Amino acid sequence: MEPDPSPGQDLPETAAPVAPPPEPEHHRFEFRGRAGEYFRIWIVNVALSVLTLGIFSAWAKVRRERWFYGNTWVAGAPFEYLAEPLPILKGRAVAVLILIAYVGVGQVAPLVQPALLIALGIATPWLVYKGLQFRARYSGWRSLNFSFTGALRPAINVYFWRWYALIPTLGLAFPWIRHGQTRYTVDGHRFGGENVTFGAGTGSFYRLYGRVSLTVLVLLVLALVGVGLLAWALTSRPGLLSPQQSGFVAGFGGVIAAYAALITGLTFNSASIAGHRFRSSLRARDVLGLYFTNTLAVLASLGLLVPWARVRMARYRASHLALLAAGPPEAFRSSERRAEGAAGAETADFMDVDFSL
Amino acid sequence: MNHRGLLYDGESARPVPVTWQVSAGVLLIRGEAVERQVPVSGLRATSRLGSIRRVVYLPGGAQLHSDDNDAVDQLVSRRGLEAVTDRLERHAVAVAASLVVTVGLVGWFFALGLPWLADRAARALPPETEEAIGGQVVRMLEETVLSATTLDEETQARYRALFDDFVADLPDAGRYRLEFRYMNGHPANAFALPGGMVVFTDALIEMIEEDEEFLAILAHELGHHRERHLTRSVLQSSAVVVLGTLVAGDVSGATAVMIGLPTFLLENHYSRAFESEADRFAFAALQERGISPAWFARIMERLEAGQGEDTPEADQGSLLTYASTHPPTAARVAVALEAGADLPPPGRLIADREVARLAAAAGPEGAVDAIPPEAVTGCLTGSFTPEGEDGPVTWVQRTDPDGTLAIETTYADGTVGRSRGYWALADRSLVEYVAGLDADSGAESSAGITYRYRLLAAGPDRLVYRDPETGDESDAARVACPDGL
Repeated sequence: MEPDPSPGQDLPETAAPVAPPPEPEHHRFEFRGRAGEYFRIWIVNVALSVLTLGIFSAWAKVRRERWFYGNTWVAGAPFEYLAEPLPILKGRAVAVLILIAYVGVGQVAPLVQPALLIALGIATPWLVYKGLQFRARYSGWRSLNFSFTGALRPAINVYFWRWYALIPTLGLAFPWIRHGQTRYTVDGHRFGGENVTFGAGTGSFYRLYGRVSLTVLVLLVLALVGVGLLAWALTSRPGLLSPQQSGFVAGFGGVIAAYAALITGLTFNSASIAGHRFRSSLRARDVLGLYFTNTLAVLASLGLLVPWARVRMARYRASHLALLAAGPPEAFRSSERRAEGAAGAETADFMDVDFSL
Repeated sequence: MNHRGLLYDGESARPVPVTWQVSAGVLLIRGEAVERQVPVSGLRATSRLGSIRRVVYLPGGAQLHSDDNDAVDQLVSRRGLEAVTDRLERHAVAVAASLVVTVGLVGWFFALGLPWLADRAARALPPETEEAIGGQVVRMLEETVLSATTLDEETQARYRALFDDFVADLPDAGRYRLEFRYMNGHPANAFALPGGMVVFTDALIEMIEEDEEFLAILAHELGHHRERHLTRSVLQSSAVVVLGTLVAGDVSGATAVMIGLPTFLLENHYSRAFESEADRFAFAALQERGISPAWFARIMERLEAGQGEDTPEADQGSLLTYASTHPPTAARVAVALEAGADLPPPGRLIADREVARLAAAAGPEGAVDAIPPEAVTGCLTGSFTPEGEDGPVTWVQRTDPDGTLAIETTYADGTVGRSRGYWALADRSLVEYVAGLDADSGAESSAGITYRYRLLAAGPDRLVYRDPETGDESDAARVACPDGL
């Protein structure tokens, strides 16, 4: 799981709005990292992770995040990733154990696997809540840290209870569920003493999902026809993956990409902090094209083009995001920074765990 | 030397542009309306990484941000894990070595390491674990695709006897069970299930023509059991899934295809390796019992022909091989035939109408001459007088190296018949013909009639047989091959 380089940032407000409403200043996000530099970092870290049987991967993750954050700039300053490897290592150990248990149970007792999934579903709100806290606390910009102040209870509501609405409404509740989750995520973030607010209503999510559903439909049809014909032409005999399955796999990947692009765009366009706003110009078809070509490149290079693919995606994402600053970003002040840091340091001892893989 | 930087006070996002330098163990920071002196010892800074901006944490919460990596390196310790990693990342040889190490280790691990580990683990586990692991899968199969057999008791008993006889030599004979199941809507198949079960589907039993074919498939399935393939495949595919998920988590932006395709290919690679291993076990077990592995080739080819094009085993294309769970049938057949090179090939006289008539006249154990393996090539001739015939019947037979026979039979009234077929030896001294298909039309004629002869003597030019039932002896002589044979 990889949030955007800049999860719901926020920018400060000028001292006092003067007579004419100031024209917002446009700050484009920019990704400055070069694929060549990242390749060296990546391959060395992969090698060390392999040699240490995965233990180093926590350090590798920190270096990767630091490099991507540190190369993402807006309004003249880079982002910072500040997490330490040890909590990540702990979280990974737990996550790997859960994964092994899940896969193992799947092999030994497939009928029990759903029970594990349900257990994981019950734990999800807490995991999300901890994860948001962790990532926010260790993300910084211009020497100030982000923070996540959302409470656990609303997380339980949007990440657990709301799912129960899915089946009775035949899935029509899905945009409503996702809206609640996105609002919880965005609203809970703070930066420089200011709250991020999420302005999108449920209606905008329904419109977005309408578009996604249409895209899904079109993509599925195209993928079915295209891949089916391709498979037929290549083999004249169906392989192990039937054309339907291949089409589904390809269509699924495309849908995820397009959906991620649209949801990111909507999230940024609806977030604001102290009068600053964001403008996302991500386009689903661009993202789709990037995913497609990246996949081909990674597969054809046996994985060696992974750094290039990641940098390419980061560059696209950054270049299609802009900060519409209502005033100078220098105005952010973090009155809470000290307290937040202290509290963070305490919890870091035991509960500060990043569960993502 | 002066370096440029930005000083943050730790309270606000507003930086002050400064210059800084280190002199006599003191960090001097100067800017507009700012001047700070901080002892260098005990300063903390973010570790170097590529060319991203560094942060030096000053006492009191202020931060000095600087892009001058080499200068910041002078401020803080360059030891520690992250500093070492950074130096490796900037060292061309280390980068090249990492590439070699990664590609080599990952390749080695999936090609050899993981299969070896899984093998050792599977053999260390008691066989009962397999039942614990797979019991639920068997129950699911039983509840979904499998149902009670429709084979009659007699057939079942016959194959059970063959089964008992075959497994008797294995060290853990008591573990294995033979089961018959009806499997709706699936091609003829046999599989090894946890708990030592070997299941033959009714469709497969119906397709089997000779006991040796049954034993060949049985040996393959027992190979899966003996090599602990069930446990090993559970261990291996679990490891692949876990590692694939870890990689997917690490490579953000990884698409389903990026992870799914290699995983899919790898799992099929493992599956093919298991099939080949089971084949090797089967061929050795068959050879030990004097049965040619070519029997395996025979039933495999027939299965493939019978199953049409919609099974993975039918995939012959080189690309699709990698997408298959089984090696291409042609390759398995070739290996089987090679393994059977020293044993008599599958035999089965495909009699034409003349032979059928002779068979009917001579009775089920009639006195028809037969050819031992030593006389595989060249032409032979012999004669005999079957009961009920007017005079002697003479025959000329050419045996090709692949075991194919061409037979020309001359009857007492001067008519001549031709047929083609195969011969077999149940063991090295018992010659066996099984009459079966008409050579010209391919239609079933006198299927199932078996002629057995004991080989008494074999020389370069002469073969002597005795029919164990009647005690009749006949001999055959090597002759020059006549035209047309």
